[in-house]
Amino acid sequence: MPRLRAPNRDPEALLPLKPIELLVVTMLSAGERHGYGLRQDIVAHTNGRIALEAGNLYRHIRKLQSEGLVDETEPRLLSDDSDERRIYYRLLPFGRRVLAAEVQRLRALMRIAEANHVIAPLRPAPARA
Amino acid sequence: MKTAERIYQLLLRLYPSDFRHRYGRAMSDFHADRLATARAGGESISLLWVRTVLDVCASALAEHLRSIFTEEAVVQTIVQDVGYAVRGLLRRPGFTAIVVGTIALGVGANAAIFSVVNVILLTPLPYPHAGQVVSFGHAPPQWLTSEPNFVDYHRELKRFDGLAAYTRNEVTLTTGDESERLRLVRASDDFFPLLGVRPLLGRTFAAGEFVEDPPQVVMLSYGLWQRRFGGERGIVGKSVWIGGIPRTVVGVMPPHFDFPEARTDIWSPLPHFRPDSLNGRGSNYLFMVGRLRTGITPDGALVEANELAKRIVRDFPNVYDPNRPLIPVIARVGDRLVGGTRPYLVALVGAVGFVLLIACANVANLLLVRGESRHKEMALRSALGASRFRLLSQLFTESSLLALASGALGLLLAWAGDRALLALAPPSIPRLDLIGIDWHVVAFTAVVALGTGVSIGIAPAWRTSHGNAADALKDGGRIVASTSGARGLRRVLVVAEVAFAVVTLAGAGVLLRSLWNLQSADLGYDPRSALTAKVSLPAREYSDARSAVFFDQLVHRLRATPGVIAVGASGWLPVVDAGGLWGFEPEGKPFPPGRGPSAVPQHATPGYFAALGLRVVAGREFNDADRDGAQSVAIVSERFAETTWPGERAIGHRFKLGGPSPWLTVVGVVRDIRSRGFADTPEPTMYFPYAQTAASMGSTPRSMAVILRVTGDPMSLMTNLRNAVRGLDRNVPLSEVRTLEQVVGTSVSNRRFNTGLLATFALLALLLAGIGTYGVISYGVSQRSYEIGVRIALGAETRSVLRLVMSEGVVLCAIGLVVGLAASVGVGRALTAMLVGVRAFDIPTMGATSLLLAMVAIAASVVPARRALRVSPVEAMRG
Repeated sequence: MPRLRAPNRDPEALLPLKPIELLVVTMLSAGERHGYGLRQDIVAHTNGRIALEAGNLYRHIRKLQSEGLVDETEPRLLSDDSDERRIYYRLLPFGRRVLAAEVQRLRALMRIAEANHVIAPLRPAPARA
Repeated sequence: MKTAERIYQLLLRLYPSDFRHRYGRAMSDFHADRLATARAGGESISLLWVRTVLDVCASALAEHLRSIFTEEAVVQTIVQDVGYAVRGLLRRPGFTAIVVGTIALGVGANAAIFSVVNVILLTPLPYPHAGQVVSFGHAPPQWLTSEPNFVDYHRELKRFDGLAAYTRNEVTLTTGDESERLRLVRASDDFFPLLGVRPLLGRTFAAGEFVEDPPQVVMLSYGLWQRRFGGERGIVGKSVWIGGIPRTVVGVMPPHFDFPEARTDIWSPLPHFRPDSLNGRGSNYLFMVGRLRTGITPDGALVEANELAKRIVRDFPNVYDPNRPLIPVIARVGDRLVGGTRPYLVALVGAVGFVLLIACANVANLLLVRGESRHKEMALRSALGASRFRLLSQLFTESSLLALASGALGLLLAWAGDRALLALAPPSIPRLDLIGIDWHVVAFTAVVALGTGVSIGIAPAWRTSHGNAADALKDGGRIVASTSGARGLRRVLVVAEVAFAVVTLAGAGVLLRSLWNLQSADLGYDPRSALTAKVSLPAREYSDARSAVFFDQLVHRLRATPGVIAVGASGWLPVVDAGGLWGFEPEGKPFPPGRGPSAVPQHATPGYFAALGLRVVAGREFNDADRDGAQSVAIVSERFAETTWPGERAIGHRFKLGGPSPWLTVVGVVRDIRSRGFADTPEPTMYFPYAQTAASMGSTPRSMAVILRVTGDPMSLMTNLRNAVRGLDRNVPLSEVRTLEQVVGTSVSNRRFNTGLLATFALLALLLAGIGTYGVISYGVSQRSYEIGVRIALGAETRSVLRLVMSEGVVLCAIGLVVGLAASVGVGRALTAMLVGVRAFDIPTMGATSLLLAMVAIAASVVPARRALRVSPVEAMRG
């Protein structure tokens, strides 16, 4: 059984995420995926620059699971017309909070880069609350 | 598809099991999907497999490392284990002290012997190409080389890079009022270049200095330079008085350079031999040392030397008897130097190795016992989730800590042992001055200590980790008899220790018997209660006649000293400087030149035989009437008499030496002596009155050994001897003052020292084995006190309780004894070369060993047995 941590932990404590972890968590935010599906998503997103193999991917999944960001499901049918079963992974609420915290962190960084004219702003920055 | 899956399953086995269990299924699905997509997309399958294998290997390694490093951070684990072990050991100071002390004894003994082996066997000699430097001599009777032969060898032998001749003499060094006898080596021009040693100060001899005769220059040894000249750097270029003439010091050799023998004091050039004045081919007085060409072995050089020697024998039939050819002997200098010491060192290494093994077995036993009492603790920790690896690492940490502490203590013991060794060792053991604790010894000790730590940890760790947690937790509070497995292991260890101790004892035993046999050999004279010293007259001031007068007066003066029974002087002392053989010709029995009989010559003053304790069996001693101008006389040994005039009375027969010697009439026959020490066979010996030797032998020695036979302590007469010499001539040096027993002892000192060491280690082995046996029996009693209590309560007799306890120890020792005796036959064979008058399997030695062991076994069992008798049934059963 995966070890589940208390959900009321501080998400900031896990930041920053490693690039692969961020990719996995981001892809899972769209919904449940099995391992190979995750790989496909990441390959598509990175234009094939990051093509994970099983060992590498599951090491990261193990880490995310033990930190309580991700959980696995019982094996279930790939699709209605298939008799093959797969284990699916899904993002836990705590994982979603960590992902949010991480992209916020990245957004703040992006603002600095925009302000320093490293990249052009996508749209005018909203006034600070 | 099936195959691919199976391969992937195999690859998955590389992962730690928990990871595999959790993700193995998902990963093989992943892989199957990946393969299917790749096939569909026309991707290279082989490339995919390469990537897969690399991925599995890398991530599996990472997972393994993680499970070691993060889950239980390694450093933290170690710190925890060490802390735990230290606390545990400190809580049982007695246990810890016994363990550390036992291993330290074993490790220390090994380190001390290693420090000796390191210097004598492993450290190369202090000159470059030491492996190519050989001594070159001849088989007896020539031993050495003559001038013409050396010239031939030097010219014709192509397998040598250099060949030098040298002689060994003694000379007197005079500084101010003080005179001292020194060892002088006169060496030909190749000597220093072939050894390749640079002087510490100044230079070696120049080419022109080998022409002057006598040589005008000398080089000093480091020792002499320090001792007599206070290490003054300005000594180079100064003159010193050696042998009555001033000679210029051209250089000082570095420390530890003492070729050709320990304690060489000075070197001087050996002048070139002039072809027109070469001494005879039969006059062998030169030692040779050479350096072989690269790639040439001593055997290879010997082939060439043999060829030449055969030709020399053929070319000079008037010198050489074809039946007694000239046989060259070539040996590496290093091998010659350590030759006699090597077998003893090997035996010592074996003995200390056994001591260490026994110490290990003892400690392993203690740890086993301790492990048993900690069984429950381990079981509990295991039940609480500690992995086997974790428990083992903790046990090994503990044994390693013990070993390290013992190693440190052992090093200290080795240092002390080295000091003791150096203080007791006879100077005949080569290169003693280099022995000490250096980093080699420290590294060796560390390795031995760590190896010990691991080996003593194995048995208890194996036992502990195989324990069944549930069983251990079940049996309440009382300690019941330990499992049969652990008891068996402990018994095996005891049998092994006893066997090792028996082997060591038996080895030491046969060597002790050999030493005893040697020392009880009849020397032919009496070495007790006699003082000896060397008196050397300056050759320039003393003629033959004056020398005779000097020693005549000295003997007369000393004879009047209270406490002196007899006084005499002779050309050489037995053992330390016995001379070579001289040819002689018995009257009426002519021999072709060079083929006559030979005997050892000796110059002796009146009183010599009485002083040495050498009995005159027929005829008379020398007396004051045997002086120059009187009838030339001689005294011969029994063997001389028997071989020369078999079945006849020797007295009255005449013989002569070579050259212009007069006929010498035999006036007495004395007993044979072993002139080279205990291991020697007596050689025919002839004695000439000192006062007549100028005429009979052609020369009178200026340096004589004075012997005083006394009533009390010989050394107490040293002052009288010194005063007597000074009273005659203040400039005559007195050297090598010692008792005759000390002189004789030098012939067996090496053996006595080594055998003593071996015997010490053997006793140590026995002691440790005894302690081990005691420990096991004693523990058995404490474990079985419940059972014993029941037996006593049920009316068991004292005798049966005693038998119960003692039989175990006695049986274990008996098995060990049998195994050890069987093994010691092999060890005895290995020692054969060192045995004298004892066979490898010596029944008395084995008997004594068995008896000694039986006593130890009984002693080790009696104490626990008495404790068993005191067991109170009530107490025992209450638990």
